[in-house]
Amino acid sequence: MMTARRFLGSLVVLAGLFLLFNLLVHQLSRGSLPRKLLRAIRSAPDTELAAIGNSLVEAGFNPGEFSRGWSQDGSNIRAFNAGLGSTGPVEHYLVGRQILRYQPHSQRIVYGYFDFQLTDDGRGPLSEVFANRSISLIYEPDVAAGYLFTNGWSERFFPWLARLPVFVERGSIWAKVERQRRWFGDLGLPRSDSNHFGRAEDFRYLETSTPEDFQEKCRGAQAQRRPITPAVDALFREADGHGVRIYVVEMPMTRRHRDRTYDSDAWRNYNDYLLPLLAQYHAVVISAGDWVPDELFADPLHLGPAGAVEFSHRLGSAIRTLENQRSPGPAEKAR
Amino acid sequence: MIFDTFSYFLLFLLPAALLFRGVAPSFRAPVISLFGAAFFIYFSLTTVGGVAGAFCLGLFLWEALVSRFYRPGSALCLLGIVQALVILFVFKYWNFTAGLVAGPGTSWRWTGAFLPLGISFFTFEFIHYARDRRENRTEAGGFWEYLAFILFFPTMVAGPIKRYQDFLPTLRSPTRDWANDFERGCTRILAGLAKKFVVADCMTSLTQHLNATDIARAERWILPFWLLAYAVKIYFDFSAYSDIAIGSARLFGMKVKENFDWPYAREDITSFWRHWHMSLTRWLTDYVFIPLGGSRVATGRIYFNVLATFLVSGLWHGAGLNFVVWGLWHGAALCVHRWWTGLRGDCVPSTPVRWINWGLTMTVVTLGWAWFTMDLPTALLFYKRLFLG
Amino acid sequence: MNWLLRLKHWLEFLGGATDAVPRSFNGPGGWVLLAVWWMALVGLITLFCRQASKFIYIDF
Repeated sequence: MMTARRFLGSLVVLAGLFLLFNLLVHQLSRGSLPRKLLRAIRSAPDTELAAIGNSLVEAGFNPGEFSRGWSQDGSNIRAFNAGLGSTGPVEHYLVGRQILRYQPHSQRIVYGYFDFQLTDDGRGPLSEVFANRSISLIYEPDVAAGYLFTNGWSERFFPWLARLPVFVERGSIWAKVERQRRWFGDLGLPRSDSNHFGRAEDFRYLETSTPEDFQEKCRGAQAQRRPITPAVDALFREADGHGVRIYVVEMPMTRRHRDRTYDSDAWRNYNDYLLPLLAQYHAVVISAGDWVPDELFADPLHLGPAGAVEFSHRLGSAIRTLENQRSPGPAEKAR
Repeated sequence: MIFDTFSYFLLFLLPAALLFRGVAPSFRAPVISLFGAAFFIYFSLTTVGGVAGAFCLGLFLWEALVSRFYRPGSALCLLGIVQALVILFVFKYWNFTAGLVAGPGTSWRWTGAFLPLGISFFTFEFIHYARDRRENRTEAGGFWEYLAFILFFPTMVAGPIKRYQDFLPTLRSPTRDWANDFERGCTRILAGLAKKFVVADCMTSLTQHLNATDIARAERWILPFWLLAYAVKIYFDFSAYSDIAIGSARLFGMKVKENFDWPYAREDITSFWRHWHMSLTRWLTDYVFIPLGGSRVATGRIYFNVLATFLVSGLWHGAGLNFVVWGLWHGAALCVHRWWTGLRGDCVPSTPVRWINWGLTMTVVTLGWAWFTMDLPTALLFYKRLFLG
Repeated sequence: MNWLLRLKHWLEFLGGATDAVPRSFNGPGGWVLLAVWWMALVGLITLFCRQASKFIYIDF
């Protein structure tokens, strides 16, 4: 028979076990990607240029090749890839804050974007803050909370959850289960290509469903006078405040994606609409959407290693040329 | 959703259960009603229905008011039943019927259609109360008691479908053994969540392929496994939901009747339906099968009654032709079983025969899930590939 | 078939579906075992909750 005393005793034992479980998870998750990135940022204090963004930057930015592209006239630059897959503007802002704090020589930031990353608000439910997005739980949860949610309840709850390693790190542990689950799910089906970001075909789903929808979204953003995403705004504002030059780079896309989306007046008008918004941070916009041929892509979205070399070299060269020409003023567009 | 959110446990379940146990008996029903109303509004706004869905709380208030006039033998009870059916029809079946009658492109379609939270379940409870009041099978109870019955949030969204006769005594005298209730209730809730996350959701990696594209390109040998995975998924998903609902009620000191009792261990389809979604089966038996004449009519008419009852069951599960076929599939299986039982008599089967019976029952149930989870053309494609290659 | 019935009873107890405590669970350390079982469930829930999908019957 369960008495009140026994029940409370069970609760106390459960609390103790839960504490142990958290300690165990904390130990096991030391090698998770967000923590590795944090360590990498802190161990590269000499960095002069950092690239921030999601998997497009992680896969596409090759620091060595960027430096080679930059150093055509003999000068040198130490570049750093702070891109991380499955992250959004809030995580980019937090990574940017780490860079401003621990890489004091970083005088330039490259911010890679695609589609509506600069104006989509991206707020969502607590359950979406997962896997690599747990940067928000690891780095500065108090800062992140203000940009992540639509409801105040999650916002207040979030910093408390950040103290629970099982919540913070559940993504890195789940990733192992998910791999088995995918293997299980693929049984009996033709083999599908995948890379370390996931199944290649899945990235098609990230695209807006039709060209018409995409163009409508471009027009909608202008009609609604959408501001720069609050987290990106905060990142750029702080970087600008530190005297850091900001390069906003439209990341390379496949011919198919460009045909369906970027090669339209709607997208061009949307980009023109963004220019004055970005001018307040003295940012330079670089359109690299068509820099890399399709065969150098690893999947419908990400550059392969050769594509990363091609893109990074050209980007290094382009930024160097820009800086040689003049010191960047209000937002301008370069190709 | 809902039962797997922090909001459910921290904003609704725990505060409501603790308050319910703390207040004077006369305030218990208002506590449940107010938390139920807040629950309905919150989850309508955050999950389904939106603002319009939240306004559907008015349906509960209207029902609670109207139900005060239900008397044994009164025609108002019949009006109450019609009213509940109209609500269900408008929200759930309007577009389906319009599409069937006037074609898919008809202007009769309700473009802003939405499903109020738990409509299939709460309308069945409305009908049960109206019918049982008319037949004088239940007492009227007070306004707040009836409101607490229809707004009892652990069972509001997906059952188990309650009976007022069962609910009232447990509302009036909940158990006072809070330690035992909390221990059993929490265990039930945790087990339910684990069943859902660990088993049901893991099966999704297989069941997500039950679509025309994947069925067409898959190797044939995997198809039965996908369907079997769906059988596992739906059982663990829905029984987990019932576990959480029943466990949640337990925190209030209230006992809600079981909804599942090892259905996949049953050796015939009749027994399967007595142990699968038991609250619905009992409801259909009492409010569809028996009013149609039940089994006290001529043999042919019994078969008709069984088919009609399962047609209603199929339609209740969804406004789609595939659900109609699923209902008739099970209705037909029950008719065959009834015919076979009559032929065989009361002989006790040997162990091997019992295993064969179990295998046959599982085969019928599992094959039936194809109609449940896929639209008609996809289900037909699935069967074609499964049996003909 | 006795073991099957015992297994059923155990599963129902561990699932919170019955109040009848299995004999081997009713000892002095039963409440500790219960806490261990809760922890196992909490651990599984935490690790698997990411893929959470809607409950099927919510849409009905």
